[in-house]
Amino acid sequence: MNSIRNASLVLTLLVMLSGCMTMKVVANYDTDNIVPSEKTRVIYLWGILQPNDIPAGCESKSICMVQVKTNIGYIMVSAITVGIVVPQKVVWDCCPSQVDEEHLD
Amino acid sequence: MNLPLGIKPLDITSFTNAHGNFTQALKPGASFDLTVSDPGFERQYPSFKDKYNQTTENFQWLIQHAIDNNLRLRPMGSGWSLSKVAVCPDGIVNTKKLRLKASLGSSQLSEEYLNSGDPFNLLFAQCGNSMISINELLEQERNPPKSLRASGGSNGQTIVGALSTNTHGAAFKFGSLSEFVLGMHIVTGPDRHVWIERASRPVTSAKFQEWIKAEVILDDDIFNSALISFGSFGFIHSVLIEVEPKFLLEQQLTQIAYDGNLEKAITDYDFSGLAHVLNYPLAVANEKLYHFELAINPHNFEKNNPDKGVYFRVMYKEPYREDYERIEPQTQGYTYGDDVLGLIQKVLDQVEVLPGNMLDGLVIPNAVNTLFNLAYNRPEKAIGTVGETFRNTIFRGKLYSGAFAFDRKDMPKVIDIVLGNNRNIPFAGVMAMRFVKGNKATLGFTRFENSCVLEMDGVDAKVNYNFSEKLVDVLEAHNISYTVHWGKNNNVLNKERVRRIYGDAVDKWLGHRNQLLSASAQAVFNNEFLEQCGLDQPGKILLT
Ligand SMILES: Cc1cc2nc3c(=O)[nH]c(=O)nc-3n(C[C@H](O)[C@H](O)[C@H](O)COP(=O)(O)OP(=O)(O)OC[C@H]3O[C@@H](n4cnc5c(N)ncnc54)[C@H](O)[C@@H]3O)c2cc1C
Repeated sequence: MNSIRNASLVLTLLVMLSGCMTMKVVANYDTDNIVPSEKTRVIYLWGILQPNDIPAGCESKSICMVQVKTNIGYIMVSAITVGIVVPQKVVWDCCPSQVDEEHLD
Repeated sequence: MNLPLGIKPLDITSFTNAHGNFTQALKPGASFDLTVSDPGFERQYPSFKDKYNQTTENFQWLIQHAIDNNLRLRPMGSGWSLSKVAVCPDGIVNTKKLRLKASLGSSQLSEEYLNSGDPFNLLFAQCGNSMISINELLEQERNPPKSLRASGGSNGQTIVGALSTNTHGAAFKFGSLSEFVLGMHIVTGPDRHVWIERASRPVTSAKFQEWIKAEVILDDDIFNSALISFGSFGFIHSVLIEVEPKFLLEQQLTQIAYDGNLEKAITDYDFSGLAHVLNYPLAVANEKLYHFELAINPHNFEKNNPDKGVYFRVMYKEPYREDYERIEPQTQGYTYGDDVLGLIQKVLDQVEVLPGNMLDGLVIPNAVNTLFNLAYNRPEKAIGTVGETFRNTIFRGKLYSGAFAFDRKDMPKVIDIVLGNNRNIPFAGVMAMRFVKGNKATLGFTRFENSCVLEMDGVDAKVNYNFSEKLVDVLEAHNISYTVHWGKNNNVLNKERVRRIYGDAVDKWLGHRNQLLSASAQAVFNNEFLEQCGLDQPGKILLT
C-alpha cells in the first residue's frame, strides 16, 4: 500500500515537473562554441506558412550537432490549435574549422 | 569597440555548464571569442607563425582591455567543469577556435631531448584543440600513428581545459593528463608571456624559443605550479605534449565480490588473488595492465557477495594492430533522456523538505538501481584505441559529479566510511574508484604517489551535496588525508580546507603566480572560486 502511494507521488511529481523532450543528430561531438545557438520558430497552418531558413552562423560553415526540442507547453499549443500553430525549438553546435597540422623546422 | 582581427565579441549574458549545475550571469559585452580560422584573419596572417604570434598579441590585448575596464576574464575550455572554476562574473574567453597544431623538427628541439626522445612523439598544440580532435589527428592522420598517453573517461574537453583541473582516467602506471606535458606557453600580462619547461627535462631549442618570442623559464617548481592552475596563471596559449606509438586498450568488465583478494589489488596493486578473473596469466596481466577501475552501486553492495559486488573494469595495453572489431556507438534503442536526472533531482529536492524525510531511503535506492543498470549496460569485452575507448560520457543531462583522491592504502577505511555515510544520507548516484599514478604538480589533486580517486556521480540534488559535506567531516574526524577534484562539484572546498590539504604548497603556488603575473593581471584572472579557496591573494615570491 505504502509503495503504491510512494510510486504515485513520484509519478505525480515527475509529470508536474517534466522538462524538455530532446532528439539529437550528431555528426561529431566536437564543437567550436561554448554556448550552442538556438532559435524557436513557429510553423503555421499545417506547414503552409513556414519560417525562413535560419542562418547557422558557423565560422566553419558546418554543423556538428542539432537538437530538436519540444515540451508539454508546445505540444499543448499544437494540440489545442489542431496544428495551426506549431512552435519548435532547434539548438545547434558549429563544427570547428578544419586546421591541419603543420610541421615546424 | 574596435577589436583586433582574431578577437570577436561573444554575445552572451550568462553561461550554463555542460551538466547544468550552475548558471553564471555575465556582464554584457565582456566576453570574447578568439579565432585563427576567421577568413579575414587567415588572409592577414597566412603563415602558422604569423597566426600564432598574432594570437599571443590578441591574448595580451584582452588582458590590457580587462585591466583598463576593470573586468575579470576567465579562459574557458569546453565549459565542462562542474565547479565554477572556469567562470567569473564579468567575461569568458572562448578558446575553442584556437586549433593550430604542429609537429616539431629537430632544429626546434634541444640536444638533451634529441639524445633521449623521439621528435615524432611530440605535438605542439594551441589550447583550444579538443581531446576528440587530438585523438583523431594522432590516431588517423599522423604517420606513423600515435596515441595520447592518458585520457579522462570522456573526450569533449579542450587539451588545456582538461589538464588545468588535473583531469585523469585510471592509468595507474602513467598518471593524469598533466604527465604528458613538457612545455607551456602562458600569456601572463599585457606585456609579458613566458615559455616554461622543466629544468630537469629541457625540450626545445633556442630557435623554437626565438620564434615563439616568449621569455624562457626553465624551472621545475614554476612548471609544477603552472601545470594545474585552473585558469589562474593567465592564458595558456599552447602546450607541448609527449605522445607515443598508437596502441590498443583491451577492456574487461566483470562483476566480482569485494573481498580480501580485491582489497590486495586496491592497496598494493597485487592482482594475484584475482588471477582467475584476469584475461591473461598473472605475469602477463601485470605487464599489460594499464587501466584499473571499480564501480560500486552503494545501494546494492555487500562485502564477500559476488551478486552485490563491484564492477571490476581493467584495460590491457596492446600494440596496435588492424584486425580488431571496432567499438560502435549505440544508435538504436533508447537511453534515459537528458532531463531525467534533472527531474529526479527536483523530486528529491521536494522529498527533502517533506517532514520526516522518509522517502529518500525509498526513492533513492530504486532510482539508482535502475539508472546504474542503464549506465553500466556496457559490453564485457571491447577493444579500441584511446580515442575509440574514451568517448562521450555515459551519463547525460543534469548531473552531480564529485571526486575525492586518497592514498590507495586508505581505501578500505574510506569505503567503510562512505558506506556508513550512505546509510545516514543515501547517495543518489553511483560510485567508482579510479586508480591513478600521482603527479608532482604543486596543487595536483592526484598528489598521492598511488592515488585512488573516489568518484561519486549522480543526481544534482541537495541530498548529494549534503552527502559530500558529511563525508568530508567524517574523513577529517578520522584523520584521513584527501584531496578534491578542482573541476568537479567541490562545494566542500574553502580557504581553511585548501590550506589543510595542500599545506605549504599553497604558498609556493601563490608565490609563483605572483612571480609571473603583476597584481593587476592577477586581478583579471581572479574569480569567486579562487576567493572561496583562498587562492586569490598575491603570495610571497619565492626565489628558486
Ligand atoms: C561529461 C564529463 C566527463 C568528465 N570526465 C572526467 C574524467 O573522466 N576525469 C576527470 O578527471 N574529470 C572529468 N570531468 C571533469 C573535466 O574533465 C574537467 O572539469 C575539465 O577541466 C574540463 O575541461 P574543459 O575543456 O571543459 O575546461 P573548462 O571546464 O572550460 O575549464 C577548466 C579550467 O581550465 C581553465 N582553462 C581552460 N582553457 C584555458 C586556457 N587556454 N588557459 C588557461 N586556463 C584555461 C579554465 O579557466 C578552468 O579553470 C568530466 C566532466 C564532464 C562534464
